[in-house]
Amino acid sequence: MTHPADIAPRVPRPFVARALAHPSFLLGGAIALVVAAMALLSFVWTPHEAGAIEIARKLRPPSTEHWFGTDQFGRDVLSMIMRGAVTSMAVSFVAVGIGVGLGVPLGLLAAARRGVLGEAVMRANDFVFAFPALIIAIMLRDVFGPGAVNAMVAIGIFNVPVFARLAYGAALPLWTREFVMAARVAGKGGALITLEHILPNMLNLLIVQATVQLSLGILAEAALSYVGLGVQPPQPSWGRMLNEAQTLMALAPRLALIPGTAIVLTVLGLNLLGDGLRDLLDPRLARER
Amino acid sequence: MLAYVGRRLLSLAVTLAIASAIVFTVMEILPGDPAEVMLGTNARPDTLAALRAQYGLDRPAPERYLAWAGGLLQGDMGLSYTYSVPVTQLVAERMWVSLPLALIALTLTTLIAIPVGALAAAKRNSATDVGVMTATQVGIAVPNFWFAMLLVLVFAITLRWLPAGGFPGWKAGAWPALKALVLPAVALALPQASILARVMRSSLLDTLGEDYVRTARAKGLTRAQTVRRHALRNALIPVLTIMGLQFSFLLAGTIIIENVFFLPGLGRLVFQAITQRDLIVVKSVVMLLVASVVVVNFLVEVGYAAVDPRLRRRV
Amino acid sequence: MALLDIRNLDLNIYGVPVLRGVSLSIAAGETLGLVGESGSGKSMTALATMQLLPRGASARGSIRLDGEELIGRDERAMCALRGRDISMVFQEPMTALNPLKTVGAQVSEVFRLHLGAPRAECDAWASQVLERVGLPPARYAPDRYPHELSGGQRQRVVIAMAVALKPKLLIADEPTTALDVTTQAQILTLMRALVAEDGASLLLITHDLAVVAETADRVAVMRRGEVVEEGETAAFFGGMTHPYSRALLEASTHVPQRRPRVAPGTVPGTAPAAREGGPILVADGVVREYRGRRAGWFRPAGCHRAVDAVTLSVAPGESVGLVGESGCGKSTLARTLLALEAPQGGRILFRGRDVSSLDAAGIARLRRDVQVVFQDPYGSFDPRHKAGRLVAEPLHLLRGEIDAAERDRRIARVLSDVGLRPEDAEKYPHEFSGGQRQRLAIARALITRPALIVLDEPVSALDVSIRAQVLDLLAELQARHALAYLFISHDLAVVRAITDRVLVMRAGIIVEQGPTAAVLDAPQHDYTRTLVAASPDLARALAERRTRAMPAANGRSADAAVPSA
Repeated sequence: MTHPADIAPRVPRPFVARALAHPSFLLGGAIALVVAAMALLSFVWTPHEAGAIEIARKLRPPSTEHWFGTDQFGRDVLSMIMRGAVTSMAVSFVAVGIGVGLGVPLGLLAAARRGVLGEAVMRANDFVFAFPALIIAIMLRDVFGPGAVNAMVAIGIFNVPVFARLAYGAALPLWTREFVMAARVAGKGGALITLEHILPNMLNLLIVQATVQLSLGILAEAALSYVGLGVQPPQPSWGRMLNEAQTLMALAPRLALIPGTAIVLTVLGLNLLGDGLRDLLDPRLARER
Repeated sequence: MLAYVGRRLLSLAVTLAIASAIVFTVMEILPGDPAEVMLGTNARPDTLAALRAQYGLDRPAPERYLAWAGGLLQGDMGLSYTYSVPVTQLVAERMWVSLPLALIALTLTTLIAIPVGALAAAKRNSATDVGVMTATQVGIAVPNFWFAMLLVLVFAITLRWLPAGGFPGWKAGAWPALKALVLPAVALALPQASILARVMRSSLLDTLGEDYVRTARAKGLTRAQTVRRHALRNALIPVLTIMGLQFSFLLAGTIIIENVFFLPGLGRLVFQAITQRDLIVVKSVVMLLVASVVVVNFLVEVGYAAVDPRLRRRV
Repeated sequence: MALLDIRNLDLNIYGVPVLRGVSLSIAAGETLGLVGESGSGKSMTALATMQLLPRGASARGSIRLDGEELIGRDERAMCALRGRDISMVFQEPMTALNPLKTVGAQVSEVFRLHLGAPRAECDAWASQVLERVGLPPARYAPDRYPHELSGGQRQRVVIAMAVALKPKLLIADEPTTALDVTTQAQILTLMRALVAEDGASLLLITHDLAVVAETADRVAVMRRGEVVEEGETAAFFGGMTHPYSRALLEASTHVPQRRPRVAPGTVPGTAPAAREGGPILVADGVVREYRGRRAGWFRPAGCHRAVDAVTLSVAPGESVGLVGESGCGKSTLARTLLALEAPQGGRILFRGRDVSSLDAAGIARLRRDVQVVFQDPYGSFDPRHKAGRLVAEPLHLLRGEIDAAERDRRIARVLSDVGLRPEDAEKYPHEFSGGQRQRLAIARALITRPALIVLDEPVSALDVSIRAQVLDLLAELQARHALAYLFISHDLAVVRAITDRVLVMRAGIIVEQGPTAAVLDAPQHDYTRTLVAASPDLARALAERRTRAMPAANGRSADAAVPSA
């Protein structure tokens, strides 16, 4: 009954002003930017050639020449970390792309059509949930061969139902809203209404979920590479660096600590960014904190 | 309630049937001939054919699917190509490591997450709450296998309290076996507990904003009584759902963690089978894992109905 | 001495003043009606009395119950008081009960909490209270869950919890606003009876003057966090002094000026619809069914016939009312008439042609001629678009026929038609108030120059004063553009004010129809009679109050007219 907007129309502060006052958005955004910059920089410059083996300088501790030291094959750890960022980002971006590209249209279609088609789409989605990314990766290993593509596809397939459910869940209540009814009375069809009213009104939700899936993708890529189902040598990957460091835990724990910290910071940054975006893009979405 | 469970059971059976067909099909289109892998590429064609006949590889795909699925129903997963022992026996042995590990991890997750989440919600915006939110934010970002390596570094290598890996087997006594599972279980549980604690917190906060909580307060219940008697059970419903979804992550985590700790569980089995192209083992273990996710989600849904009277009459 | 004595109550929420110097008092056994529009601070006054204020609230002043100060009282002492000495009934019965506990247990809890008696004993008492509120355990087993009860029954359960321990003061915050009129009348009767039996005081918060006139001994009017006027009920309605009270009364009983109905074809130069003659839209035995879905928690599965063989027609320039309670199928019928849903039986004729046989161009023609205004002024606009684009949306139907300049001209014209400025086209929906948004919705419906507008509860979400303005606007637009209206509402007073002809709908069936005044003044069907009798009617309530007061002589009115210190 009571609509506070009746008393004082809501005048939101501009997005930029609110963003600059939002600590977790700022921190998360800064971390994500640093990782992205590091990855981009690695295309043109790394301190040493990434992945170049030189047994003579193996297991050097951190120094001015090798900031993070070298591993058991004498590879420069910092350079590997920088190139590893490329792998992490690329795999998880493509996986989110697959999820958004397939999942969102499916969810929108299911919500627009309802009925048998909608039911079928959503049932199929429920079904994919029974296959964790790891199991998909195991099953698809020989189709694509172990490597970045396998990881991308496996994580991407796992992302499809996530985005389909999200889009479907967000679209269904929108379809019953009166402004959609009004659009139908204005003679607009399902596709046009989806494009003009449904999709724009769930965009914020999709952006927030995309950041979350991005961070989950980075974790998943690391895990897959760790067990040998992901990126293969000589392509550097944080997950594989951890695998290689495992036997040296007692000798050089630094080799496990550095890539692990890189993963934690990146994921943490993306999650903070996601939380911040959730608050900033739509205050109604934000859980009370 | 019985009718509800009956309907759910039916859809469970259908789901499992489709899942088995997908697993079979995907594994079927894979390149590579198991017979060649077993005998090497320069084996004689008639030896290969004999081996294919021995394992039934020469029969058409639908027939092999039916034979496989029928066998699964009777608990017969066929013969392992590499070990030449029944897959069921292999799986049963390995299960005694993976299953306790998953269960301990799940228990730990729940025992940590629910009280911590509830505490944070009840003391919203307090130092406790901020602490919990920060800790869980970091916890979510930690890969469980890396966390496992850190645990090994601290508790096995440095402090020498617990073993760094390996599994003595249950025959060696419950205590040594459990000791071997402590670190893996903790490594699995903490990241999951971080997620669940956050879900619990926000769910309880949502519930505390509900009208019936206000009604309860108007009856004269104190804040604490309201949380205990009215809010908690309602808040657990979404938590239960997330726990069901988490189970598949937990399972995947178990497979990976077994590699960190060299535990002879299903995870090790499946990776060995992959490298040895023992497709029948891979197929069966994958099917087992998928089935357990499906069954756990079925149990969650039934549990959901047991908690929530509104669902019992739903279709 | 007053039972409840609120003095100079100031309330801030996060520093924003919500109540300013509120003073109210209620004598033992008295009913005080607290009236005001949304945001006036009625509910906050109640919550302050319960000491159940939201986060960030700080109260100053004094609230005394039986002479004891409640503000700043120890929380434990307050808990002992709540439910025993003061209790409260809330607006929304659908969500006021814990969905996971049986209603018996929820009532029983009050006894267990305050009396500490054994469970069996408390359950027995709970059954007695449920019987008292009209839910005899023999028919309504206390082991039912809330979702198995209707809204009215749930409100009875909430009332049972509130009166379980016979409190001295019962606070009811819009207890019937979410209910249908017939249920509303029953609940109000029940509350009056309970309060009279127990000798309890009642603070009845409502936006509806008629409800107050029926129930309250005294009335207080709130506006913007202040009490602007207070007095004994009959005296209050007899001679209000504050201009706001008077405006409120005027708006509650407002009847818009309507010109006599334009006969088709007689007015030259009006909309083409008026000239063509013949009904614009006809429903002929329309049936609309829903397969049992899991959409509702309390709806049994199976086939639900929402609209059952409904026949109606709307002629050019005519205003037809469709009246019924929630769930009777009137909105489903509206969607079917708008060709948003296909009927399973019967036909819908648009200008004599079966809608199911129309091609795309025919449907477009239908949409141009038949537009719609919905109930919720907050949900009927896409929040991301500007007013101009929103209002122009139906021009999609005229694409290719009009150019951008004509589009802008039309936007400016409809905006000024509904009393907004052409510059408002540049604003976003959230920058408008509720009433302005409803004007915007009307502008959107006007832009294709339709012959018929379907109005689905267009004023139900609005406060009385704004409701009166929107009704005036609708009457004026109808006269100016020779529009036909299909006016769907649950509110008989509104339908009476704006329609020529009315259809009464119940459970998918039209039970009675005829000229509005005739049907509402002399209803023939039982259901219409119940509906008319249950609808709060200010004039009738005041008349009844006078006849009631007559035999009671002066003793009672003296009792009621406690000085409003």
